[in-house]
Amino acid sequence: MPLVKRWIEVYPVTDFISIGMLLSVVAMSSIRRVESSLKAYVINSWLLAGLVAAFAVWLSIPHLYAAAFFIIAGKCVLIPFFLRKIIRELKVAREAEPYVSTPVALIICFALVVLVYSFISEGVFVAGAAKTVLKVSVSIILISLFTMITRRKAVTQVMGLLFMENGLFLAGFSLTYGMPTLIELGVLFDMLMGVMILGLFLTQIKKSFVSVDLDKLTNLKG
Amino acid sequence: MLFFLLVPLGTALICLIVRGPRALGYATLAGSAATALWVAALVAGAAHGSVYFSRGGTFYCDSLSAYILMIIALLSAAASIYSIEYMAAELKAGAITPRGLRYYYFLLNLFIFTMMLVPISNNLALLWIAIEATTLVSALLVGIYRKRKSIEAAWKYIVLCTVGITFALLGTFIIYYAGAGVVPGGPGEAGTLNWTSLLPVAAALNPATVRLAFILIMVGYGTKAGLAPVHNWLPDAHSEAPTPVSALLSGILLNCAFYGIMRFAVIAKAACGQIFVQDIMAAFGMTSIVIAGTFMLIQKNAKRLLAYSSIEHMGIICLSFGIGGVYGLYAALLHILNHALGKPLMFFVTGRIHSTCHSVETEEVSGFLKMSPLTGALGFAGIMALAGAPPFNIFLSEFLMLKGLAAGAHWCMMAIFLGASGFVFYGLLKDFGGMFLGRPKEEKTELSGQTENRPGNPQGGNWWPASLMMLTLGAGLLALGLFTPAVLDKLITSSMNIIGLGT
Repeated sequence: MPLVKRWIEVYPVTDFISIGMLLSVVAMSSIRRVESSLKAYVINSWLLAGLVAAFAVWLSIPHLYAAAFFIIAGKCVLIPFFLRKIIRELKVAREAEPYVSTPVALIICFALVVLVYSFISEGVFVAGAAKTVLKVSVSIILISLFTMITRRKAVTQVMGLLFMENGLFLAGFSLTYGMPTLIELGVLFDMLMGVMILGLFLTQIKKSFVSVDLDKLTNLKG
Repeated sequence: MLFFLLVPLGTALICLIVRGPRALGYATLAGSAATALWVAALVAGAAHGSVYFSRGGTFYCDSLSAYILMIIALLSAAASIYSIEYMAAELKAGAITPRGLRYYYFLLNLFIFTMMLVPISNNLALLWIAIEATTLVSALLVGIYRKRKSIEAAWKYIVLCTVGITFALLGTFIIYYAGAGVVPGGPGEAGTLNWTSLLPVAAALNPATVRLAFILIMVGYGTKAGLAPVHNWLPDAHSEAPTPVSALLSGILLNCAFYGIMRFAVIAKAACGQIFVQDIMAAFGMTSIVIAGTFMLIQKNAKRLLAYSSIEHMGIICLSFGIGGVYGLYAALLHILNHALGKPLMFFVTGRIHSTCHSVETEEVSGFLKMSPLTGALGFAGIMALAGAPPFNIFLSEFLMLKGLAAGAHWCMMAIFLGASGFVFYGLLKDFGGMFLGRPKEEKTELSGQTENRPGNPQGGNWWPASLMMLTLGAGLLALGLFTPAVLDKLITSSMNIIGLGT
């Protein structure tokens, strides 16, 4: 264990992992195939769990091991399993033509990251890991929000929401080294239920609108 | 004392077993009556200054919580009475299957349970969990008809509110971060997120951090509370949900989210000064009033109109809170109750218009007062109350708010508010006036003439307990406009002390 601890200190492991999460969310924003973006989500969740585990080893906080385990169970196994089932059921292989083209989306992602890095001052957050990781997590939240706005398929909106929540968890862990375990469990449970309910509505949208394009959901206005 | 929470949860489980639509309705009614009794005892205690803690301090009930709990208990009882009449009509009309009905009652009780969890959560993250749970359950209720429009409304509702509330969670994390160094106990230990342990040390929190957290909280819970400009889900969800659910959404769900804002505002006030908090809240409130007033002029559907009216009233509550001082806070708290009495009454009336005239489009209905004098008269009174006309209760709290504006010399805000409320008055009366007054339309009269064939109405007419309940709500609107009962006054005053007069 002490060896691993020194390892984490010598190599900026937490920075590497959080940058990996940022890259996977950028990948999601430019991938069209729905199952591939689900894979990006799984990678993102494993990285999140890895980061939490690294914190647990580095700072010797035992309850973070439990948190890492719950993240693996919820975000890496259960949610992807459930979503894959729905995606296959709905037969949405590819995202329809998005509102902005892939190169433009990438440029906007880049601009968002630059914006976040220049706006989040270091004066507010002083704790060790928070300095870089918080910027990454806010970037993840904004990029996934942007993706949610510009995509047409309802499934992609769910994906964006999930990435957003990962960014949020990252922020939470970098700021506070985790909430009390019971609270984390509650938050994860809420999110799991949210995904299940969104999945339920997805199948209903498919049934009554014959497609999952959000362009069709325009009956209610004003 | 706080075990009453198990009653709605238990009722929800009972609804999975009970057979028959009537039994389901009565079980729900019994459950909410039991909860109401329990809450009444709690309120009586809280009015005398008692504070209830659960073991470990995760749950907590002071007079502010008791006040919100009282409103929740009152309205969930009202909604369960009305559900029996309304859902029986929907069942007969074939809008919902018997299985869907069981599902409806199950979710309704679960919805009440999650809402009751909100005001007694002491832990700020538990508060978030409870508010997110209300979104999840009520989204299922909004989409229960499985029509295109209701699915669309439910989808928008759940996506927008979940995104919004994600920001609130980020805000909660940041408060936790701010408190970690200050609150005894240190990071990673339960208790540092308890509102009661954060409050005494709030003045020592880093102001810049808390400022950022409060903005995130305001955007996050503001989405849920229906504050403009993040209100877009609200008109859709309110207009497509079954009417008893619309009443609950508008009357209490919005207040639950606002309750979250209030708790955070107390901490933020202590940490970074009241000016900052009050300015943000006043800005959100004013925007909501103006946007709602404008959109109300172009609505064609009565339920959508009422939904925009909810945005306006949440704006008034938020603005009053932002003005602060004795008048502002008293007005905000009183307005929460006043709006929670008036809006559900109007939704119930609209539900009856729907089952009589088969439409709630303002242009297709007229002369409802002649078709159904009692409901029509109640509805007319309700509209006058919602528009802020004296002698009803909403006039009283709006007047108090104006007094607060005058006391703080906010003349510009006062002018904007008066202009916007003119819009609101015109928008409400133009549309609802046309629906209540005038002559019943020909073809509609024929339909409503055949009382026995009319789909709906379990006993061939309006169910009398529901009428009684609506009469009570109407009487409450009038009575609270004339005087404030001592218990209510005590409850509001001690809640004001909790929030802090902002000195």
